[in-house]
Amino acid sequence: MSFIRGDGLRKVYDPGGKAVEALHNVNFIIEKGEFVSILGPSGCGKSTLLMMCAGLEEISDGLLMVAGAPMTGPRGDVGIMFQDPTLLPWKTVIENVLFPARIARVPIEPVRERAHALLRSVGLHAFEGHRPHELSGGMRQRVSICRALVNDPSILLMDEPFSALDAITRDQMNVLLLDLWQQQLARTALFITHSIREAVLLSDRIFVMTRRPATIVQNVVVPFSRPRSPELTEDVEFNRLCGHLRSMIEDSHVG
Amino acid sequence: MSAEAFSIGGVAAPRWLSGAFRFADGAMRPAGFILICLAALEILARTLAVPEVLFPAPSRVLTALVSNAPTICYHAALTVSQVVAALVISFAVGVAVATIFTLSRVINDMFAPLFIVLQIIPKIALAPLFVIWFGPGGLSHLSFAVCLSFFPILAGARAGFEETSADAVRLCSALRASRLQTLIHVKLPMALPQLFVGAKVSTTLCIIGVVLGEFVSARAGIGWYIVQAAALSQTANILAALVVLSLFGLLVYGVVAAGEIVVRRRMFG
Ligand SMILES: Nc1ncnc2c1ncn2[C@@H]1O[C@H](COP(=O)(O)OP(=O)(O)OP(=O)(O)O)[C@@H](O)[C@H]1O
Ligand SMILES: [Mg+2]
Repeated sequence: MSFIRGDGLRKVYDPGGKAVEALHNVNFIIEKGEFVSILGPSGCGKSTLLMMCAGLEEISDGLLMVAGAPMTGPRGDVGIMFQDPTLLPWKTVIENVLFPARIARVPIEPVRERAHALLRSVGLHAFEGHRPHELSGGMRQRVSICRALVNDPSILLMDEPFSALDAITRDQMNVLLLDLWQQQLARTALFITHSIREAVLLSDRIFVMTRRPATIVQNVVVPFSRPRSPELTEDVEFNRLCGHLRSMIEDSHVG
Repeated sequence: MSAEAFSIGGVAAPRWLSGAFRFADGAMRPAGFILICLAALEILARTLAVPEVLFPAPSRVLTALVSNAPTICYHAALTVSQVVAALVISFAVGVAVATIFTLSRVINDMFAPLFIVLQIIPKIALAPLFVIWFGPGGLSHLSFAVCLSFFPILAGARAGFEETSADAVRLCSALRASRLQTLIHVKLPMALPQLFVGAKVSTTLCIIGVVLGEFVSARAGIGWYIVQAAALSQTANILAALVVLSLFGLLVYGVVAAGEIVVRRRMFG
């Protein structure tokens, strides 16, 4: 049964009368428990699509079904990560992680347990009382992951979460996310990236989008079994798939 | 003065002490400059023998200050307590109005332009109107000062609310936070530094507002004292009153500025 399903999705921005068609006839299905990445040229409408799935972007045309119901607004049970960690500077690490629970006004103690566990699994349990400005960029993004997962969201939405990090930290974050995923701390996930290797390492499937007005032109299944380890990136098959995807994206750029 | 001022005998000084040193260091030059100016004025007043009514020598102002200190301080304290009250009320009004504006688009669109237009009216000319509305007492001074000074805080709050990162607001919306929750949990704390910037401007406007109110009608307060002294041509007393008022005003401003520093350090690292 499909968990997220887009049917003929269209998005037209209308800033000052000049209509910009960002998405055009986007169709896709995401099953429950799948990790799906979106690759595509800059400005094609990836963030727009992600924000639609968060219920934050109005849908101009078409139908988006989530968990069997049409999407009409924010569901509340999503986890979101952005390129910027967007932590609140006056709150400690643990309080930042607990933020979604504070907003949902649920009893805090059970959530605190999960927050501790998440912070432990990303190696930040010693920093619970620290404030964001005392952490490195990678550590902040790890806090941001914990915050996205703390209320056990049914969808995890990530918009280029590691793009602002240096290459080494980025690799570490990939391994960390892979671990969290394989410990089943996260469920269905939609992940936007510009890194083909990152997408292949993490995903079950990859959507390739064209330029604006964008649509999904390819739906690539990543055949590697789980649990995966970071050594997978040295595998011949892995690199062959990356090369295949790269040429596919270059084609879609030209077209 | 440099780094060695912050460690005494090789022992690192506590943070507040180093802050005090830095403050003293910063205050040294302006204070020295003022002293030099005062000395020059003193020499000028004595050599040119200007009539005291026109231009009293600084030493005369000092004598006037010392001999009238209890009276002047009484009136200044009255004025400054009104200034503080006006500042607190301005803060509340400014934040409340900005809050209403962010919570309701309709109200914002209806009234926000109006507030800008109100800024263009020379509000100082309204002082007599407040006396008619609120009587000659403290209430008219207070309300006039608030009317004069809440705008910078309102503007600061609105700027601060708008400065909040779009992603943080998006996160709140995705979690289905109410507008009020977003405001309390994210926008208001984010706006605090801007609020303090506004409050610093408001402080000076509050002082102007209260003193002006006292000029127009009062039975006490430093504005009233100055009007009385002027009627008797006691120029030295006027200047002495101004010195005391400036010192008190500086104190209030200093407290607000210190509050801003504390907030920035504590909340934003
Ligand atoms: N609020 C908006 N108003 C008008 N146009 C918009 C708005 N948001 C996005 N667009 C336009 O829609 C298109 C898609 O934007 P979007 O941010 O979804 O792209 P993206 O694929 O995420 O790009 P990137 O990879 O650079 O993040 C862009 O051309 C952009 O100019
Ligand atoms: Mg984007």
